[in-house]
Amino acid sequence: MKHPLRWVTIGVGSLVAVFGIVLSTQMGTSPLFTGGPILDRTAPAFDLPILDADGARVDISSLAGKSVIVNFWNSWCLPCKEETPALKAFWARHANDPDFAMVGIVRDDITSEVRRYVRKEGLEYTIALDPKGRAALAYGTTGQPETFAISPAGVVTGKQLSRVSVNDLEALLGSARAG
Amino acid sequence: MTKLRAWPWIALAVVVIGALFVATRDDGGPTTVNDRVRSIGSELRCPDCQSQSVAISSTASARAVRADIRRRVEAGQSDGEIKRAFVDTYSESFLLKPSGSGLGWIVWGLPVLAFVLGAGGLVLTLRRWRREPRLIATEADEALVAEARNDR
Amino acid sequence: MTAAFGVMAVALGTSASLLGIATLGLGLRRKDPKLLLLGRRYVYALLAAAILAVAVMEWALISHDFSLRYVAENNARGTPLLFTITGLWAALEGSILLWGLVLAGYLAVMVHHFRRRATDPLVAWATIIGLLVALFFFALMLGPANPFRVMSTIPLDGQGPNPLLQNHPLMAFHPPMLYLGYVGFTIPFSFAIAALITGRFGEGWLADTRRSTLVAWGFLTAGIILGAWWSYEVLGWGGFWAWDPVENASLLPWLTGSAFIHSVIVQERRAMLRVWNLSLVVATFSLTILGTFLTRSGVLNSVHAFSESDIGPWLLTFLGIVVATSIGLIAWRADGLRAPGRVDSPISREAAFLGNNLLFAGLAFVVLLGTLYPILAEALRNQQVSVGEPYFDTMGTPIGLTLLFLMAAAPALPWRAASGEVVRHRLSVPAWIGAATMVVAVVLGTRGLAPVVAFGLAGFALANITRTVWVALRARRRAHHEGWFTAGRRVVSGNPRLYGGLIVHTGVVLIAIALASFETFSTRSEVRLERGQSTEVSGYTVTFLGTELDRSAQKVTKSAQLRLERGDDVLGVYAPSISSFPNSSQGIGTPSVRTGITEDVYLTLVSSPSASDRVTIGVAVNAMVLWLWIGGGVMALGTVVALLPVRRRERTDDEPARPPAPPPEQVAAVGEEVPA
Repeated sequence: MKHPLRWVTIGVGSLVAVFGIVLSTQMGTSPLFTGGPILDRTAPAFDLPILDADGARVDISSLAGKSVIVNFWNSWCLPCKEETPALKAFWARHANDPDFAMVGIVRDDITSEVRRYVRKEGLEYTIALDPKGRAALAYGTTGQPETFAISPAGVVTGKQLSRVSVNDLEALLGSARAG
Repeated sequence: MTKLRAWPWIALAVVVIGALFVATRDDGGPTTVNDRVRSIGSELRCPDCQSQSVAISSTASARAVRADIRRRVEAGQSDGEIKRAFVDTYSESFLLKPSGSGLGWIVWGLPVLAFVLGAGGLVLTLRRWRREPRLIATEADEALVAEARNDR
Repeated sequence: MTAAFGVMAVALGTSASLLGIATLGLGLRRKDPKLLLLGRRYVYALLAAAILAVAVMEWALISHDFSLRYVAENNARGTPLLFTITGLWAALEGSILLWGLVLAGYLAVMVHHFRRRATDPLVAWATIIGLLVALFFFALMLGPANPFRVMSTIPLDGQGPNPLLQNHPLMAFHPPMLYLGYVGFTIPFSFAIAALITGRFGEGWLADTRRSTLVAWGFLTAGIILGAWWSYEVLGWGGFWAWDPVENASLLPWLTGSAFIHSVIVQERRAMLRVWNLSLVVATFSLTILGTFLTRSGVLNSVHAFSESDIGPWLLTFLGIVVATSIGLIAWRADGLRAPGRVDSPISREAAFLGNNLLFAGLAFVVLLGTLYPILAEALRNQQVSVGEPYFDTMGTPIGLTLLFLMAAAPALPWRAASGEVVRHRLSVPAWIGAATMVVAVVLGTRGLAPVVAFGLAGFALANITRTVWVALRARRRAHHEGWFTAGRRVVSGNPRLYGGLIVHTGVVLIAIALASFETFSTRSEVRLERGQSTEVSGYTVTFLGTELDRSAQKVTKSAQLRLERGDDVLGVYAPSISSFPNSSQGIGTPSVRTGITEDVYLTLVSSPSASDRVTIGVAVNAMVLWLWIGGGVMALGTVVALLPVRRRERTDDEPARPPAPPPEQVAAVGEEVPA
């Protein structure tokens, strides 16, 4: 009864071949890190204390009507350190724009370390602390740095999950202004 | 064959089934807040882990998610609502149990199918072997053997 | 300079493989025994080259030679000596180098073991296949996975190994043990292919490779258990198996290998299942290559995939060639492989082994599917999905429990066929003990179908194993009037395979008990403590004494000092910690574990304390974890026993002298079941 065996072998071989081809098409892609489906949704609310501001807080409603860049970061993550100059330059360019706001949200860090970093780098935009990670969770972050753009109407119009350059930030701001 | 003494085996079955019954008596599933947080969390992937669940991971984001689940549990939301809220924020890929719909039949259905086919094949083959007559030497075979022996 | 030596060694190894293949091939074609004898010597040359290459790399690591990129990326001046040495397998290229060394070692042992049969075409072909595999790995090292690549500018200090890899001495043992397992399956694979090519696919190749299969399986088992131990003791998330893709990659060949170990016995006894066994061996070897591919190609994210590289396509191509050739050979020989063997009765040990194979293969299929499904979904529908513990638990637990049942019942099933009555008689006492175990478990608080069934089956299995041994011992003692100890030794050495297997099964039972207990009786909690404050968990009192900071050239470690007490006993001060390494962004947590016979106290530092007066710690009381490791050790012991040579029947005074038994290589000796 050789025929059944031959068919079984051919069948198994084809299955394996299909698997192999599928596997090979997926090489080089990182399947799991494209973040959550937050684009074009209402920006999740947050209400966080500002670093060294005697209890002053920043919340989403106070930013209504402005184009906002929100950057999740902390002081020990390597790409965060690498994107700091870009963030500084971008802030310097737009600091005087009344329709623009920028907030850096820190989570999973030690306050004294954050303070030291902010002082050392001379960061002048709003730095908010998210010690329990609630804002990070609301925005569906999977790590840091992650940067989001929010339109004046309060809709998330852009996001970038890797470190940003000045051009990236300009593009994000553009999407916020347009959206 | 002597008569099967069934009583000891029936008693055994009763004991086993009784123990299983007591063990699986439904007390409503996880009841305390902690239990619910743990059971829901075990099905959600921690946001910055590869495959660990929120329930066991010790990263900051996992703790944040656990705290969020706890708040929702205490607010009275159901398991399904909490999981859906998480998926809304993070997408389906953060559920550790792939859904059964759509492509999910591959991962849930194929193994069952493979088992049914394999077990069925095994049973059928065993039956066939029992039915087929054993190889018995016929007289012609015996003659052949005798001849070969004499030839030596 | 060093790089040149290393590359030269790898090139030597590559050419040795090539020359060996050519010489043996030519010798086979011309049926020239001199060429065959010469060809096998190239295996020894290969081994020498591999040793040289590894020695060069270790020298470079120990002398912190940062002109080599591999050393610069995986070693630093401050790295302690042990982790410098283990840096050989810290990353991809070094791992391939280690694979090459282990493979060369196995091939050398194989060639030496079969030296008297060097002119046998089966052995020659097996050597060729082994050398072909070696050629692939050494060629990889000449090209895409070159461990001796040179830096254009030599840095002053290296990056150091990944912090997770320098946390614990266990790093020294887990990867080499795993590799000894993985690579070991190359030998049975080579013989299987050789059997197909030469047409000698009876039971000879099985007998030839029986030992190497067991050795490889034993090492793989030990490697997996060590990995679980490391996960528990070092990684600090409180568990030991995360269904991580790389963990699954090590489990897959273990599953098919376990199936093979059992079905081989059926083929030896009944000359059947030839195609199935060949397929299992090919599958096991292919899964080891697939595992390497999954680990190193970046296709799946995993805590192990520290670096992506471009050897993915190469591994996949090699895997494709292996699978295609094997399937082609089996299809070609299909006619001759059909055997007239059959299993007589569903109540027989053979039938139990068949069922065991179905279940192992099914479980391997489930694990493979679950691991590859995210890739499939991405490829077919651009969907991103995860498959984690809930899936594997749901699908795997029923299979595991059924396997446990078969394993428990099998020693009572005779070979060939049995009347139901005999089996019922043998199983009645163990069945009652199993039921009693279930009741005790329920009384002690076990809830849930799976744990209770597991406990019951564990009791059933242990009782049956004890019964089997007891019956054999009693018969031996009666026949030979020996003491217990002597009788025990003689019984075991009369059939080491059976008793080694029973010892391995005992280890499995211990692991099953440990798993079921861990699921049922463990507690876990997180608590925030001020300095001096205590908390109580499951009868233990944990008091936070303060934090300590420890700076070294290698890392900065913050630890929380916790005093652990139970009742009036002060059990000690334990210090879970979080370490930060200069070149890595995240802190690595290290748990502090108090191991006890029935339970562990597992302490972790959850948040790195900013103020040293307050910490959040995790306190878990984990039940019976020690028995996981003991069970693993028992499994290793059983494997060693199964490898022991069979004792030839010795004379007793009232028996006439008999001619000596045939040499062990030709006969697959199996002992006889002592009738109940």
